[in-house]
Amino acid sequence: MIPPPVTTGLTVLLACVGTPLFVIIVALALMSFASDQVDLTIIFIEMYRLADMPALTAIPLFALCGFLLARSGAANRLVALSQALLGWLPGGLAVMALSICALLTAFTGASGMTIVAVGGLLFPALQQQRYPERFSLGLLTTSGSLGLLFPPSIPLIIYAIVAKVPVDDLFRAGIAPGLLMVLCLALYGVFVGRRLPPLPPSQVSAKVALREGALELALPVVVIAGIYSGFIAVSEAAALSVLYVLFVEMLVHREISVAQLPGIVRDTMILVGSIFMIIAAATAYTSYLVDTEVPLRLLETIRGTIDSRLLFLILLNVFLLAVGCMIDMFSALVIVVPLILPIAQVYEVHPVHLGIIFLANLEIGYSTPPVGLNLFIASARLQRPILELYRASLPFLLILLGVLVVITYVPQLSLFTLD
Amino acid sequence: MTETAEDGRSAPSSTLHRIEDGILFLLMGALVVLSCAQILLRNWFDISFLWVDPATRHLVLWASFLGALVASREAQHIRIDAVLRLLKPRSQRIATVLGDIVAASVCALLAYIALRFVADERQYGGSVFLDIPQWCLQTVFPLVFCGMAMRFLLAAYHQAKAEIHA
Repeated sequence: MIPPPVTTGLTVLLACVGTPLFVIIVALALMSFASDQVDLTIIFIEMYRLADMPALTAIPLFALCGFLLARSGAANRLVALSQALLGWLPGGLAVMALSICALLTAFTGASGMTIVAVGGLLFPALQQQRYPERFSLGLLTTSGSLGLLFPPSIPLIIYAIVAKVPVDDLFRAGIAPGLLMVLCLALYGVFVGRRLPPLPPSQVSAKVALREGALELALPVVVIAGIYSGFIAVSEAAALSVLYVLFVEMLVHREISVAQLPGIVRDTMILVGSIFMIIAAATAYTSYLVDTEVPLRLLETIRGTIDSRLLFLILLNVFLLAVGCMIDMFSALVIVVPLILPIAQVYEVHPVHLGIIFLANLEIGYSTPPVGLNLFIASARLQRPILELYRASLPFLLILLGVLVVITYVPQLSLFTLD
Repeated sequence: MTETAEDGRSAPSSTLHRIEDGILFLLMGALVVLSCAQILLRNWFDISFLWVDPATRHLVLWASFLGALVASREAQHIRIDAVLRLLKPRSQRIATVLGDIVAASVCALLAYIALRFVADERQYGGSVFLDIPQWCLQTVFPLVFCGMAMRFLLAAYHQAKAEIHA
């Protein structure tokens, strides 16, 4: 076994020079197995296990849906629809911006796609409505990862696979905490927008807007109903969603042509491929860690120092927030979950609840200075200096942290939907 | 390798890239069609083919590994760039060259191990579905890691050359 200081030092060094993460993890696995004189082909025995995980099939398919939606005019139609429905409400534009971001992110995952797809559309709209600029910037930055707790978000599926809990349990558990996050931010939006003039009567009538956007709005309903009804498995729901989105965007709205499809598939698979590479690498490394009983020893150490469930949860939150703003969500999930899961069970944290805590933390970490990914994506997309975004996202982060406390310390919020 | 662009990372017109994109498209198309057909047959006609499930999972394996190969040509692999972002642009580029060289060496080693793995499986392995030998399905590992090793090396070479000229 290689001493931990050596592995840590090497990881940090490689990360500093920007080595792709999967390479770092594979290098760690190779060195660890080699130092124990294990035949290195074990790496591929472990990687080939990917072909034994049925839930993984859902990931490329749902991601493809997200990319298809983002490339079509779906966002425009949803904006028109919510303008027609929420125009009368003070802060209506802010509320609808939040809802659209949450809806899109559930499908596109934490890839920054949401900010890229709707940032250019919603930011000018918010400005025109005379929302304070700082408010608009903060809203779009933080909502880049809002919606990760809603089905069928990819991080939820990955957590379910890594922690070996049913995907649909996680899909159920995320809804209430996710809604609470959207609701609290929406209330803040209403508060900020309370003195602003109401939206001008929208160009299109509610009826037309509803007809235009109804097909896309129906997608989450179809997915969720399909899975919960028991007729189809999660991966099958994903395949049907692709077929449905293709039908809507290619035949009904005619916004995506056959010629565009290979490019969209390629972009989807670049994202999925880089996620799977990390999952493959981490599967190999985790099997080494488990074989050498690292989680067990970690547990012994922690049990000796932390004596209450409350203290454990507080430290878990602090740790995960730091992880969330340092590294991306997918790597965090595959590496950290196997280490934390057995510890959490000792402190009687339900694995599904732990998943929701995990994702809520990582979601917030994405917008947390100094290195949260959302801040950089928003800075590039909206062309504002990063320091301005730090300040802009602060009130939103405080609200989300408040919700995080509720999510963490009220397990029923996540677990009441389970049997 | 047919990269021709200055930085060696984007030459969308090259034949190899088109072939990769085309295969990806076919794999994903087959995945969608197979999965949907399976649902249809099971729920309406009460028929299900046992080979479809393993076939879809292998399609996902191939498509995602090929996606990873494409990601390396576009320099889009996930990196922990927290530290990298704090560096000056020039140091950032030099660090990237080093990172790519490390990545190329690790991928080359993996390609070699993967070849040994496939050779082993060829001797002992059976088949998973439709009598396709298992080792054939596993050839994706050496192929992809070999390709990635070359891409990372090329990227490092082009970046270093640009840096020296600048």
